[in-house]
Amino acid sequence: MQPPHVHETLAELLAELYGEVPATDAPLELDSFTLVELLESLERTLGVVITPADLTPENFETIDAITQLIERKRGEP
Amino acid sequence: MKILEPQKLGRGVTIASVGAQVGSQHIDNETLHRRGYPEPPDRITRLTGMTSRHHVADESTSELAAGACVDALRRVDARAEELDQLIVSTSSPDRLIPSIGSTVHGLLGMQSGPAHSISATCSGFLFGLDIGARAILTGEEHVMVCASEARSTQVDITDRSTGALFGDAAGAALLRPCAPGEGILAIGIDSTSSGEDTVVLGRDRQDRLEMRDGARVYFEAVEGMKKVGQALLDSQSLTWDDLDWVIPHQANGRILKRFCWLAGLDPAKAWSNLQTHGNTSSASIPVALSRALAESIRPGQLVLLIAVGAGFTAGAALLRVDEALVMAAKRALTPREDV
Repeated sequence: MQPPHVHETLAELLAELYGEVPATDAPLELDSFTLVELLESLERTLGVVITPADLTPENFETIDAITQLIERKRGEP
Repeated sequence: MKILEPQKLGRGVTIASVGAQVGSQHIDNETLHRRGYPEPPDRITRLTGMTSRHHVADESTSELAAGACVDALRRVDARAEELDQLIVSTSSPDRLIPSIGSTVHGLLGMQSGPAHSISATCSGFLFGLDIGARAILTGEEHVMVCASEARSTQVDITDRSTGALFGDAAGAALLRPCAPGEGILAIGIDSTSSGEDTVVLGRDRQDRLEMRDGARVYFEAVEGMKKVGQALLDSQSLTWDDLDWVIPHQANGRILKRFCWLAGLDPAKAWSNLQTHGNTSSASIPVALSRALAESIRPGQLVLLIAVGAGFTAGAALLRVDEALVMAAKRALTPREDV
């Protein structure tokens, strides 16, 4: 079975939380509750574990940035 | 991490009794929303795991503390005059000077003996337990470790990131000597300054608690609890599976759930009163322990208390609970349904 695609999963989660999907390079303005909900959902759906070191502003600026973070984490041993 | 192991010093220290008191106002999510919290009640529950909490009405942090201490004393027919030392943890004192320890000393009617306050945010009770245990191990006979918080007085109820989280309460543990290898088996405490700007409260009366980086606090809290717990268990050659109960700082529902997941701890072992008490900061562990002893913990069981607080601070304590402590907690002195 193919692992879930990060970009599509992220878009679905943001649609759930926001009601719409922002452009992939548009700045995301996530408050801490929403960010935590999003990251918990990503961990559950995509099988990654977010650590405090991942919580840099750059990693959560846009959908593209989050996608890159998750892709990197999935590539980690 | 600094680890205290009483048995290695050839002595023992135990918790003889635990008492608690909560704020006199019961505040459910509907009330909170009506008073200005921006999220609706069901969303508050989803975000925090809380459906209600207790706030103070006109009682002070020191009065809550004295109530919890009296509860702990009465459960073992002890008197405040017997106390060799009183330690009060708080980050929401009535005043900066005098120390809340002095105020509670007076409210309890202590005739002598030192009383002082400490602040290690949400880990404060465990830091106090470390200090109190060391006092017993160097010859004192009765030491009261209390944690009391009226955080609702420092929070802007309209602030989405903090307005729903906190409850007001106090918990107190009476420490006494015991045989080596019984009671408190180990206590570990630690600090870092890496989170000093994540949760902040200034000292002016009009200042309100700021959660400047809630997501970071969430992830750091879980990592910190897992790390300090693992280090303490390793020091005793134990694993999470060896524990009968874990009483974590009742921060919020999401943190507790994630902590269980990452530590590999059966969530059924993580005792919680978060749903009805909210986050009572340093008071949350003794308040939860008081109820857990009355309802769930059996004599002989192994219990881990564990917390992370702003700053960051972290602490963990491993207890072998004895029958006397359980009996004291079950003793029906005061209505327990609100605690």
